[in-house]
Order: sequence, then C-alpha cells, then structure tokens
Amino acid sequence: MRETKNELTAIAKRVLSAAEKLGASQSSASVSRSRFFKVGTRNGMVESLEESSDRGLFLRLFVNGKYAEASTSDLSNQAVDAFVERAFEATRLLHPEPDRALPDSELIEELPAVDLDNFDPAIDKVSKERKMDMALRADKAARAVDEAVFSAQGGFNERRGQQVLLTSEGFEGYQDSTSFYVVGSAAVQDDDHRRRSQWAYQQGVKLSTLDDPESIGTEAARRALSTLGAGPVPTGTYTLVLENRAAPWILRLIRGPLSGQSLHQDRSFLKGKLNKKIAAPKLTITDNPLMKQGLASRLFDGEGIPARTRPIIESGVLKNYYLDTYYARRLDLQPTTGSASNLLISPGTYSAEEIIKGVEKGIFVNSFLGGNSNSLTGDYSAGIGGFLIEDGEIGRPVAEVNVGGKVQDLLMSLAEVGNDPFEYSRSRVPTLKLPGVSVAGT
Amino acid sequence: MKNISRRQFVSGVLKGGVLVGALPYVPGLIGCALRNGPGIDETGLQLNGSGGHPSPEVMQRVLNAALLRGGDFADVYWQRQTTQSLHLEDDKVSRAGVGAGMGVGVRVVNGEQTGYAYTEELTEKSMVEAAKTASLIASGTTASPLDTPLEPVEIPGRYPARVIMTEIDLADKIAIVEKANAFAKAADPRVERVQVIQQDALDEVMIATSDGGIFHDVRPRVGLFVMVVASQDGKTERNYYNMGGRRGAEFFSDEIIAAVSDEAVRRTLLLFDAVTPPAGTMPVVMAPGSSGILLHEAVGHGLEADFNRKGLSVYADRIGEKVASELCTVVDTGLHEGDLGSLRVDDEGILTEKTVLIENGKLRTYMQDKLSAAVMGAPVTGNGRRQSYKHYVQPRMRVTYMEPGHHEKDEIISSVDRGIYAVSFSNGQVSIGPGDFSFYVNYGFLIEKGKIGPPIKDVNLIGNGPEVLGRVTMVGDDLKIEPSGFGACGKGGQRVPVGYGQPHVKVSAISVGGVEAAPRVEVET
Repeated sequence: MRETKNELTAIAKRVLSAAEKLGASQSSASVSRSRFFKVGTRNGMVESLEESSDRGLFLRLFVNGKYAEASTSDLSNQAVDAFVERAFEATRLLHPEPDRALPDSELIEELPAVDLDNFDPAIDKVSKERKMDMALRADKAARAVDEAVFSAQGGFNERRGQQVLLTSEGFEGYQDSTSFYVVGSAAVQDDDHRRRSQWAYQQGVKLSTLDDPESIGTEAARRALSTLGAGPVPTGTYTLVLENRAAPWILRLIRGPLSGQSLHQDRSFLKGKLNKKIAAPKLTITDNPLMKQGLASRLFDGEGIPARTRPIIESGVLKNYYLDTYYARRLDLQPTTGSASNLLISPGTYSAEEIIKGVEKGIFVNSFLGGNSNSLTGDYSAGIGGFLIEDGEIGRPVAEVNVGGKVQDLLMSLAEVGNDPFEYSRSRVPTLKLPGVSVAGT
Repeated sequence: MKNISRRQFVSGVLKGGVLVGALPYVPGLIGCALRNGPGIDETGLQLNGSGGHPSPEVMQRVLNAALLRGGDFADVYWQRQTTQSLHLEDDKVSRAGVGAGMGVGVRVVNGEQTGYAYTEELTEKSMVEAAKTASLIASGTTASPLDTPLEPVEIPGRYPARVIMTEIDLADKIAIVEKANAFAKAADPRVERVQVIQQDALDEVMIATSDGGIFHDVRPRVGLFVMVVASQDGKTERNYYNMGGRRGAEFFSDEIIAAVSDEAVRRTLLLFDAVTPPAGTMPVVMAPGSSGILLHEAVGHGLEADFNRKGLSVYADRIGEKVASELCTVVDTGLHEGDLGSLRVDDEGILTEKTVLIENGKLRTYMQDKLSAAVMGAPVTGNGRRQSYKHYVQPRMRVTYMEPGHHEKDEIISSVDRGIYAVSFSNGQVSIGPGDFSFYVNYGFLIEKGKIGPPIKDVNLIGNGPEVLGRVTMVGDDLKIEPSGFGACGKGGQRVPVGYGQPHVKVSAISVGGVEAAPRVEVET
C-alpha cells in the first residue's frame, strides 16, 4: 500500500515541521493506520460483526529537555496543527531534564535488512464469508465433542497495521504487518450451579499457519470437560509444571523489574544484577524482534532504535535490561530498547509428558487467576488452575488454590524446560518445571 | 475474544488502594490555587459541551442508513475525549502527556446479534458508510426509517465538578504535582524517591438512539497518584496511593493532596515490618474501601446480564434464590456522586439508577443493557457501557458496593482468633462459569487472638463467589467507596472506569496464598 505509506509520511512530515516552527529542539512522529475485521459466533449463530479502520498520531516533543508525549486520532491538517501546538504548550512550564532526548544519532545503526515475513495478502484475498465460516466451524466442532457442551462460541479476528515513524534526527521507518486469530470456547454444566468454560485459540501473522478451526473447537470442548469437578488441593509444597500456553506468566513476573524506570527508581530486585546469576542454568530468554513471522516482530522500536536480537537471561545469567534512551542515560548504561518484542525461552530436551512422568507430587498448571507481584521485593502470589500430578500421572482437576513466594527463588528453582514452545503467542515458551512451590489450598 | 469467560479487574500501574481512617471530602476551592475556568457550572454539564458533534439531523440520517436492512434498534455514538497528564520523578515535572480522540460508532442490533462499525472522519458520507457496514448484521430488506425527528432528552443531575481539570492553567496543575512531591518528601526522612502522576480526562458523548432520542453528556475524571520508595536499615520498600474520581479541579485542595502523599508514605513505611502471611484457609476481615473489589469479582461480573442470558454464569436462572449470606445487600449504581463509575446516562441512552442486585442474600436482578433486557424480557438498568466510540455496548458495572450492616469494627476484629485483616487491594480476576475469583492484597495485618498483629503484604486471596458471600458472617456499619482516580475494569477487550466499596466485612474462610502452612480453620456457617 504505497499510497497509504505516502499519506502517513506526509502527515508525519507536517507534524515535524510544525514542531520545528514552534521551536522544538527535537521531535518524532509515529503515524499509523490499522484496519480490522472481527466475527463472534455462538451456538451456530453470528453474534457480532465488526469492521473498521482507524488512524493515529503519536508525537514526542523535546523542547530543550522539556518533554511531552501526545496522541490523537484526528488527522485532518487543521486538527494536526492545533494538536502540535497543544503538545508544545504542554511543555511550556515543565522542568528541563537534559536526559530527555531522542536516541543519540551515533547509536543509530542502519535498519536491519531482514524480511520479517509478517504480512499476509490473505487479509484482502480471502473472502469475509470464509473467515466468518472459520469462527462457525470452531463453534460447531466444540458442540460436536459431547452433548454436555451447552454453549459454544467461535471467533475470528484479523488486523492489519501500518506505521510510519519519522524523527527530526533523520530516522525514517515504515512497517506493515497482519495478524489473524481464531478462537473456540465451550461451556459445560458442573455441580452446584457451576459452569466450566474453557477456550482454545491459534494466532499468527499468516492465515495459512492456523490449523483447521475444528481442532480449535475440539480442544476447547475437551479442556472444558476435563475441568468438571475441579477443586482445591491441601496446602503444601508442590512441583509446578506450567503448560506451555500458560508459562509466559513467568515472563510477566520479571517484565517490571527489567524496566529502566523500575531500575532507576530503585523499585527492582534486579538492580545491580547485570552479568550475575539470577536463574537456574537451564533458563535462557532471548528478545528477538527479527524473528520471521513473529507476532511482535519489528524493524525498529517506538523511539526509532533499530531492532536487534538480545539475550535477556543466558544460562541463568542476566544479560540485558529494557532501557530506553532516557533511562539508559539516567543509569549511565547503553540503551537497548524500552519495550519487549518476541520473547523466547530456549527449549530443552523433554516433552511435557516426560516432564510430568518425573513428578511425584505436583500440579500441572494450565491457567492463572489474578495475582500480582512486587517488583522491588520479588514477592508474588497468584491463583492457579490445572490438574493434580501424583506419581507421574495426571489426576483430578484443580481450582481455587494460590501459589506464592519470591520470584528470585522461582527463577533459581527451574528444573526442566520442555521441547515444546507454544507457537501461537508473541512469547514462545515451552513447558516449565518448578519444584518446591508453596501452594495454599484447603 | 480470547477472554470469553475471564474478566480481569485491572488497575495497571495505577492500582487502587484504600484509605485508612476517615478523611473528609473537602468540597469547593479550599487552599487550591486554581482559577475558575470556563466549563462546568452548577447548572449541569450538558450545557457546556465543546461542540463539534454532528447535528441531530445528520445523526438521524445516519441512524436511518443503519436501519436500512431492518434490525430491532440502532444507535449512533459520537465521542470526543481529551486527556492530559503530568509526571514527576526526581523532583522534576519533566514529562507531560496529552491525548485527543474523536469518532462516531454505529451499532445495529437484531435479536441477539450486533453489527458495529466506526469512523474518525466525521463527514456524513463516512458515517453513512459505517452505518451500512453495521447494518450487514440484519438480514431484512425492508427499511425501517424513523419517521419523526429525534428529540433531545434532558439528563437529570450533574457531576460534582465546578472547574474542568482539562481547562485549568498548566501552572496550577504543576503546583498540584509539586505539592504532592513536597508533602511526601517532608513526611518522613526515610523517603528516598517519589513519583507523582496527575491525570485528567474529559469525555463528551452524544448518543442518538432509534428508540429514545438524543442524549448529551460530559464526563470529567481526575486522578492523583503518588508512589514512594523508602529505606530503613538497608531494607527498601515501595508502595503507593491515589485519589480522584468524576470530579473537578477543585477536588485537589491542599488537604487532599497531603492525604494522598501521606497515605502513600504511611503505606510504604509499615512494610518494613511486614511478614508474608501463612498459607491456607482462614477467616479474613476486609477493611472498607478497595475491598469492594471482592464484590466486583465475586458477584459483580457474574450478574452482568450477557453471561446470564447465555447461561454461562454461576448465577444464571437464579433470580429470587439465596446466593449470599442474608447480611449481604449488594448494589450497583450510576448515581454515586463523584465516584469513578458514576454515570447520569449510560452509553446507549438509558438514564441510570440505583440497582439492588442482591437484597438480604437473595438475588434480585441482573445488570442489563438493552440487548440482553429485550431478549430476557427484563427491565433495563442503565448498565450499557463501552470504552469508546470504537466499541459496542456491553452490560458493565458502575459503582458497586455492599450496604452497611450493624457491626462495629472492633467487634469484628475481636471475633477472629487467627486470621488476616486485609486493608488494601490492588487487583482481581474472576472466572464467570464456576464463579471462582481472586483478588490481591497489597497490604494488611495478621489478626492474633482478636487483636491486630504485624503487617502483611503481597498475598492473593482466592475463592468461589457464592461460597464466599455465603460465608459473610459480619458486616460493618462503615461503608466506604474507594475514592480512586484510576480504577478501571477490563471485559472483552474493553476498559471502563468503575467504582467500588464495602464496609468492614468478615468472611469466615477464604484461601490465603502465603508461603507456609497455617493451622486448619473450621468454616463457620
């Protein structure tokens, strides 16, 4: 869509020139357009149809160390000019902070010459009827599994996003990507008014990489049926085996502590831990924005820092923080990027089944319910759902129990990493085995 | 779509918290260096719109285009939102944020089916185009245009905002942020770092409905958030507090600013002595305020009509049945003045009300939007809400709370031999089908032999909605709605501001996530 690219570029140029005229020392403009189509079905009926496109401007404005971020959806020429003025006005009485600036130009390398392969023409070429049908097929397959499934839902979402980023330092970037999502869910009646509802989904940047929707609906129904009768287990210490789909939870526990703001504001238990051992040797986490067909792949980040693959944790040793230009300067470190892309945990040797076989008393965790953690102390606590493991065998379904402890201990305790990263997510995480976790139940 | 049965109560970085001790609401402009801006006066906000919305005639033509293929009803939703924020760290307000959004969404409802489209180009042509896309959900070929002109509907009441925050001088806002920083720094020498965020928004909507008329509402929102890092004997702790609501700039008196800062500091310092509580099932007493998250999760989402219309909720088909202890009367209202979830008119043109959901333990009604109410043959309750013009209506909570009971705080605490006193809650989540929910305690205290013991922190509570509400054995006489400026709830990919509150409530047994086993406690019934 060259036309859209030119259109977005023209708006970005107008913004930068308006900012310069007002007296901004530096500025950057990200102008984007996205388009989506969504279908929701229930019990064979199309329940919702949504389709629209929108545009957005995200402006960063630096006026001698005074800094404003501004976003708007109104991109008419007149509105844009007024908006830049409003953003400029917002900086007027701020305190100057010289570390607030665009990335140093000497740190800006060439954009990587990589084909991310994250655009699929199917977004225009495959008919809406066929996409609607994918949702209906997931829905139908879920109901076909067992007559106990009293309600099934299907869904199809697609989105195309185009973005132009220009900075006053001469950075120019453009990205254009698609994503597709098919979901099925099923509900079954349990005792005592309880319904058990579960879902399954596939997601990818290419429509063709999503399996047939029937398998999604079938998986949702099987998951729902398997949770009938779920309840708490006795309080005690258990080995947790996190299902690959649920395992990105562990990444959420370290995301805050890895951020420049937490580090600089003394709110991170990972402060001062660079190049130190913080996890078991089996843990290697890589941030890879250049992965082909990755859901979070990109050539540059929001500041215009060219994307680079970086180890976060390498064989248990902390290798990188998430540092944007401002916090890197404040901390006197080199900037990396302020935001995560595709996060990969390097797979190990064994399958989930083999890992479960080696567990005497544990819980196979397939979902989390609520919970939170403290980025400074590392205390965490969260609700879990899944299945009891006894002597290497999957047993009864588990619900209404909490896990809790220190994130530091959890990272060190990692005993096994599966060979099965879940591929339908921006994080690709395999099955993980975490012994010695405190579980609060009955 | 991913979260079909899970609803998450999210406060994000800006989490709710509860205020301990009574703090007076200070109306007016006491001690606040704010000029009286243009904008809102005592006569009500609808008179002070900023203009820029389509004319009633255009809205009606768009509605007619939406109904071209039939359908039960349609609406056109125009919205303009203005947001502004200031951020302080290391004693400097060096970052500002501004936001502006405007668009029109068109919805067509046909039975249980919804078609939706929106546009940000406010030409009649673009809006009619969106209407045609939305109309594809209806299969009829007979047009059902409106034959009489839509009339504006007067909305009673007003929000307690005399001065619109988005319109005051930048210098006055910076003064608020600097004061918050100074108060926190001065509160205790152990305070090392202070971060302050001041945020406000003005949301103006115009809703044209095929079966009602034209509704115009201007909704203000303000919030002040303070986070503190403190050190003592080599140990570092952090905590935070915030206040705000659907209020005006006059809310930020010096007293309120100091209250936010002092509370953030107090909450941080007490963590130096905090222990992780024992794990297991035990009695829990909740302090008034942010404990309302319990209601939001344990019953609130489960009583939203869409889940019940579809038979997916643990509360489906149970109107008239006992679903909670008879001490529990649970209310959801749009009329609780000043609180975040309050709304004079919902996002589909229904004037809001105080809706009694559970009365003395018996389920009275679900929270309805127009679609579910029509299908279920129930009256609407004014719970139809949406995040923005980009989203269609869902039944959502407004301000959810439990009516006060007769117990005093002291008798509630002293009735517990061993348990926890949970004071501040940050977030929660529920699984609608079984009714299992969890909520996170930011800090509280152990209760030992009827007395408040050492502080505890960072622990998740989990339970089943009907079971936990069935185990409510004492309800205090001290209802408090959390005065949060940031509380927001996520459902089906849409976030809306909500309010919540509770008096002191004792639950005889809840599963507490801790690290070491606690002695077993028998459940009182």
